[in-house]
Amino acid sequence: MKRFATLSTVGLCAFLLGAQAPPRGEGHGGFEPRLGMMSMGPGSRTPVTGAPYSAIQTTESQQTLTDGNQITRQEQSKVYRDSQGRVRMEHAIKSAESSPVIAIFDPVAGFAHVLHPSTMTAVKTPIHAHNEFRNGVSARTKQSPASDVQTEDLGTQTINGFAATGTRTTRTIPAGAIGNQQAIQIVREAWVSIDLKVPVMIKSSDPRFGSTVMQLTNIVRTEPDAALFQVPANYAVTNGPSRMNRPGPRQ
Amino acid sequence: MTCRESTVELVECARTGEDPDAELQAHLMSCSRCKERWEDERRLTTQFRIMRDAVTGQPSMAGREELMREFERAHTGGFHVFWRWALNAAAILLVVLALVYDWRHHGSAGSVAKPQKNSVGLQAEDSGDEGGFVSVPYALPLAPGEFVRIVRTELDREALAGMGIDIETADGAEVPADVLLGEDDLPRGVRVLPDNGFSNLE
Repeated sequence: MKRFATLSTVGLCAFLLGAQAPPRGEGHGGFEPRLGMMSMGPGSRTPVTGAPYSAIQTTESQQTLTDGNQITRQEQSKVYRDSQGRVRMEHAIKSAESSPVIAIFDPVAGFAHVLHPSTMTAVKTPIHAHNEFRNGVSARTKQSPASDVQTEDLGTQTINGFAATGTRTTRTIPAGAIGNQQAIQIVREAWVSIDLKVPVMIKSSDPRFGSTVMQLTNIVRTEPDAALFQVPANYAVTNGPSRMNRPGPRQ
Repeated sequence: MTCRESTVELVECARTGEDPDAELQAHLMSCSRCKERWEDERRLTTQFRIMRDAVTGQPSMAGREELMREFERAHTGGFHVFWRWALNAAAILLVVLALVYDWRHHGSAGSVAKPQKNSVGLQAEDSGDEGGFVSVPYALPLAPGEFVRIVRTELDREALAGMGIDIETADGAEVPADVLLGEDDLPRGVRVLPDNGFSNLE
């Protein structure tokens, strides 16, 4: 049930940040967005207020292929959050010809925007549209049993200069559950800052997809420039889809 | 027929409730006194019957039959008409509800994620619905405050199967899909898109 709610929350918040695809070629990461970055945003439904910060989010992933070869990748994003709970994420794209995709999540104004600096365009999506999406997700997602999830409290540690509480979650996919000959163990270790209420480190290991380490570094606890949460005046703004079953407006 | 003979038969007919025979009727037509007597006898017999019924509380067979006929006339026809209309209305309502349900669950979703070309044949349980994100089986829950993002990409059958999503595709064919990722870059949900998802991006 928790997982059910989590995916719903995740989905709706992701949707809030728009759904227009940028030009092709913004390749990066494990699931390469060959057709574009659709959206970014906080996974929590309730915005965190009164805890502004800016930071750099780095994700390193490693996948070992069946022949022993390894694929290692690294991604970086800039993250800003103001005291009102507005969030800006600048996701760097490795592809040389592409500029970052920027997402602004503004629960104060009730809108989310996805900005494409390369084309100076933005897609605006009303936040209230999320109910439909949430219902769509929650009603139609296949769920695997959560009874096999084990959670371990790792206590409090200082991670990247911030006090954080750690949780290790382990899940085992029984043999034969997804066609696997042997049981598969998935492990995730998340450290969430007590003050910022966001993860400052996440280590994940899922043999199906590889291992990843996410870290939040260069954290500055000052109020970001308010202009970061506004769509530049010279951007052409279009309205995003009001329903998730519409992949996106034509450009 | 004499008036004396007529009187005896009048009394008997009035008592039994039978109609006078032809000979008696002919006499009544010709004799005003006997006719008046016949009317009195019949009226008196009727009064006696009413009094008897009032005392016993049971109507006579004739009265009961008359009452039943009245009841049939008054109610039976209306009763059947009412239920006939009610059943017809219920049937129409059921048909309308079925059409609305079908339209909402199939008609409106038909243009969502079903490929319009025959390169793929979706079998994933949820791929044809609005919203349409299918959770990746056995994915671990997100941490509090964790960010997510959706990337649009192309996945082949093996990649989808690795996430526990079964879709029939042509050999080597890739399917456009939105993948929901956590900050650890691991997938949490997948939404398979129709082929014409490409056209929105060009």
